[in-house]
Amino acid sequence: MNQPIPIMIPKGASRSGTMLRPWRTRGASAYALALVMTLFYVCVYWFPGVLDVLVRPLDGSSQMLRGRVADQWFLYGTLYTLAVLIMGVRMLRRDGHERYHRYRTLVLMSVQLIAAYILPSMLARSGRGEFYFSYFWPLKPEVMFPSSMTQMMSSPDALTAFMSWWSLALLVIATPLLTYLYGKRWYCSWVCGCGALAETAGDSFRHLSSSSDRSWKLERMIIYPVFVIITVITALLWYEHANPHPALAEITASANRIYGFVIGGLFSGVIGVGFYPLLGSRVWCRFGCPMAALLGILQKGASRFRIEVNPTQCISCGNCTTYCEMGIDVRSYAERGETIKRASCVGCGVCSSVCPRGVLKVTSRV
Amino acid sequence: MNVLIIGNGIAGTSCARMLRRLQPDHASCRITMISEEAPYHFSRPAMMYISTGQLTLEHTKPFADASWAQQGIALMHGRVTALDAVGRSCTLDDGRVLAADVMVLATGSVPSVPAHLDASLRGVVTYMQLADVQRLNDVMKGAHHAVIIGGGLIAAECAEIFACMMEDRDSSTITCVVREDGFYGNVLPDHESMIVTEHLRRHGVRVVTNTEAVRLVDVDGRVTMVELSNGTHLPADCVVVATGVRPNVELASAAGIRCDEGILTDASFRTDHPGVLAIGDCAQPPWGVRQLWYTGRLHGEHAARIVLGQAGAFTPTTDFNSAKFFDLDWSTYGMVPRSSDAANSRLLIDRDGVRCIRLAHNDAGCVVGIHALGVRLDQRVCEKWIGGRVHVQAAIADISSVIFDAEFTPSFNAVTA
Repeated sequence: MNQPIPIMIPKGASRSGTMLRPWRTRGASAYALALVMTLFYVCVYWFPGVLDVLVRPLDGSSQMLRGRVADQWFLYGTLYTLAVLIMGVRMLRRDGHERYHRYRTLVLMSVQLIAAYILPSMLARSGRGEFYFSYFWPLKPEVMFPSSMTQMMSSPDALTAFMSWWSLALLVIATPLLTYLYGKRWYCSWVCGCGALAETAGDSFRHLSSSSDRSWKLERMIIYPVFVIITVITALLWYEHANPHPALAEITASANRIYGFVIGGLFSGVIGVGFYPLLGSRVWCRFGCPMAALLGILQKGASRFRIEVNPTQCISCGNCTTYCEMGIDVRSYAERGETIKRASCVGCGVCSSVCPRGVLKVTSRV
Repeated sequence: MNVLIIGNGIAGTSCARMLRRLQPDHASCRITMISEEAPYHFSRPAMMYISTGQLTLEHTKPFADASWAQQGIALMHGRVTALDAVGRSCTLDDGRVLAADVMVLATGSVPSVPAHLDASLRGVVTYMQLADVQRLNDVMKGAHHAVIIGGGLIAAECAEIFACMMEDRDSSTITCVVREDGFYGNVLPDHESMIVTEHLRRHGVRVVTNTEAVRLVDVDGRVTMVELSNGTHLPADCVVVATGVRPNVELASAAGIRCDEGILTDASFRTDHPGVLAIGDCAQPPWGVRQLWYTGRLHGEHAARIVLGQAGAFTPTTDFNSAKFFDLDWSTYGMVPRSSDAANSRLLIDRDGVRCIRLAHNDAGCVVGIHALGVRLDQRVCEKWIGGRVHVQAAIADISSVIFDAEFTPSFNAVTA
């Protein structure tokens, strides 16, 4: 009886006070925060000169890490990584008493720091292109484009060649296999950088994701077409690569430019992160990410992953639905005692943690 | 048919929703549900999360506001002042009279406040109805000495609310005055009750056991102290009386419907007046009053079938319940009596000294009840064991199959007591 309690939350319910803070409930401060974040993204993508005052102080560290002066992308990467690390510590203090969240958050923080910050910098320093081991097609489509693929594979540098094989293997082998074994969470809430930011800096805003039927419909209307578009663009690039055709090359190149502007810039950055305080932390992951679409199809069709429901203990309190960052109406399943298998679920496990009656269990065990 | 449901808690709501599911034709089954408490049904067990700012009232509504009209369930927000049990009608506070073919009473519970405690003093509240969220919030403002009278589930909820929400937490005190040897001691066996008591203490809640509050001391109508049965006085500027609830029979008994502790019904929830049913907390069927949220739902769904002539007597199923003491989960299936001891139960305690599972058994050694603290149980396995009369030794040998904890939770390593 005198041993410390292994399952303690210092102040009781771990998410108390959430609904009382204007910056977390679309108050004026939330709009101000969203405006600042949105403007930052607009500057990073299209007006980097404005950020010079922030970029220059980083020249020293950029020289050290990458062997060249800083640019807006180095500023962005640095801030992004700092946000994941600092807010990751906050997430650990809030939910780290549960091992699932402790391990998950530590992995996300490490992947961001090592695979998405230090390693790419070191590769840049060694004269190779910046390469991210934690992003691949279709989230980072260019790694599968013929231009980079053929060039990298035939590179005399063993590491460069390895990187292209790595991208291919992750897409063809790891993605279906790991998704079959563990669901899309292996990527979306354990590895992905977008997920890392959502699970740390975005955690304060997860309850803002709409759980209405209308937003579920909207989700399906947008995310699958995005996946189809990038698949078609990639396929056309390869077709043109095999059968050179100048007119087609031009069309495909401009389609890819538009995709990069609308999806890669506007959607994933400006709206996806800038609008955290207004639309919740997973807008991009839920509505736009082609990787999430692909993993979702696999999760729904060929995966052991599900959320098991302890029938009848549900008290319909709404904690699960409220704190689902993907806007899944978890309660509607829990009330009926129905096992949850949804394409969008990223397996963050928060529904299970906030359930006061032990109704939900995220699992992929046979 | 015209069905009038009085009360929109879980019993009334489950009845209304099930009626519509079984009889989708709006014209042939008109359903009206009246509530004084709230215009729309909300989840009462979630009330504490509104108080802690974890949820808003909107989040606690399981059904969208627009869905009621779609379902053809007419909602009325008002107070029923009188029932006519013979003519099957009710009078509202605005003078309107509503008539029905079938009247379902789902009036729930009211706080049971001992006569010697004056709950009308300023700074004193009960915590049951939606309006109590605001009342508790008001008395909590600026308070430094919160006293909770009672050692049950509402008391535990209020302790957590205070721990989360009192403004000047470092210089304030939270005290629970508990009549039994330990917290929730009228339900839990001694060992479990002690664990819960210790757990509350670790969260900074003072738990005074074996003690009753005998009087609330006031200055000019404002509570200042709680006088205890041991003669001492606790300073108090904020008091919650959480000494239990009793069935709300006021309307029914005024209308001449036969009542005892609750509204007396047969096993089909029929009162002594034809066409008048009573369900949920307020009902007293032959097996007695059951004031559980889950029971209310089962009653409501079954009553809908009875109203439509599709079912007969209700058979109570395996009991189950669950609660949370701060971050310590408790759930129970079947019967684990308070008096459980080594002769009629087996207690498995984890090496951490907190988590435990108790398996109650009959003389033949068959499992008749399971409950757990700090461990989530799989209801399907519990019911299989209890329903299948599995021997307690076999259950213990297979104990890992009943655990429903999150992935990576430290495994439960039992040291049998």
